[in-house]
Amino acid sequence: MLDLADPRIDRFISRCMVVRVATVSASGLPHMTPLWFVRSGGDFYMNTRTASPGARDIAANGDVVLLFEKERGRSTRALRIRGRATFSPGEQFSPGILARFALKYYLNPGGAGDVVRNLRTVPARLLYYRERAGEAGAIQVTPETAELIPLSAGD
Amino acid sequence: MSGEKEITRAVTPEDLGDMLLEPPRAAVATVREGRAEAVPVEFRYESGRYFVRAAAGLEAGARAALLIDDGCYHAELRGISVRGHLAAPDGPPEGLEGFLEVVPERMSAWHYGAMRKRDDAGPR
Repeated sequence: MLDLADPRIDRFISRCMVVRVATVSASGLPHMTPLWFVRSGGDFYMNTRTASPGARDIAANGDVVLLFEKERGRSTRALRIRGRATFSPGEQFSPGILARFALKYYLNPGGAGDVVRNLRTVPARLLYYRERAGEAGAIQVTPETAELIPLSAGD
Repeated sequence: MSGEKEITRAVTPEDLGDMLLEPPRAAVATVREGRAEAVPVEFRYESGRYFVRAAAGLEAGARAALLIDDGCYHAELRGISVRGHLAAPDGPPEGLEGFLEVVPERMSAWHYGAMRKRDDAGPR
């Protein structure tokens, strides 16, 4: 296990864009959801629909596992963080958290380029989120343990 | 607004066939003693069947959620979710010794870059 203050955690996460969130439903079934995320003050923040399986699971059982793999750069390891999650329906992130999301996913060459390359889908995207306005909420995960694990049986 | 949404991001797993053949990322969630577990996996798609192998942490018989996903930015985000249980395959296909099969009960797939009206033909 890594110490939660281990700088390797931040270095690893800085190369990650999507976290895979494993949850358990009220009836004991597993689920996994890929989400955008940011980290602030040691906790992780994500956004999802209130009706999503992940949100329902967290509302029933806050035990989660976060799985990170580097999308940028090669690695033979994944970072696995176990933590306690809360889901707050309708909650808006603080301006600081929103700014982190904007910088990470839109206000950079990769994010802006993605929007420009897909301008034709912007009207559909705007309508998609307008249709679902008020249906989202905030996930906050407080880490409990962290470890680097092999990506495959051969690693 | 009516309950039925006009815009969808849903696709079929077959629409994302390239991900089945060359999965960018794959992981499996299970439950152990009531707690969530998750491991990255090697994934193989063979004759319509889903096979996974991990360094550790997977057991035949366990309920499982397989996630194959791709992308960093919005329009790139796509994925396939297969929920079911793990099984030791009868006579695994050649080259898949040591793999478990994810026997599907529920499946879904999505592609944010393929958002469209529900009455459109589907991903372009």
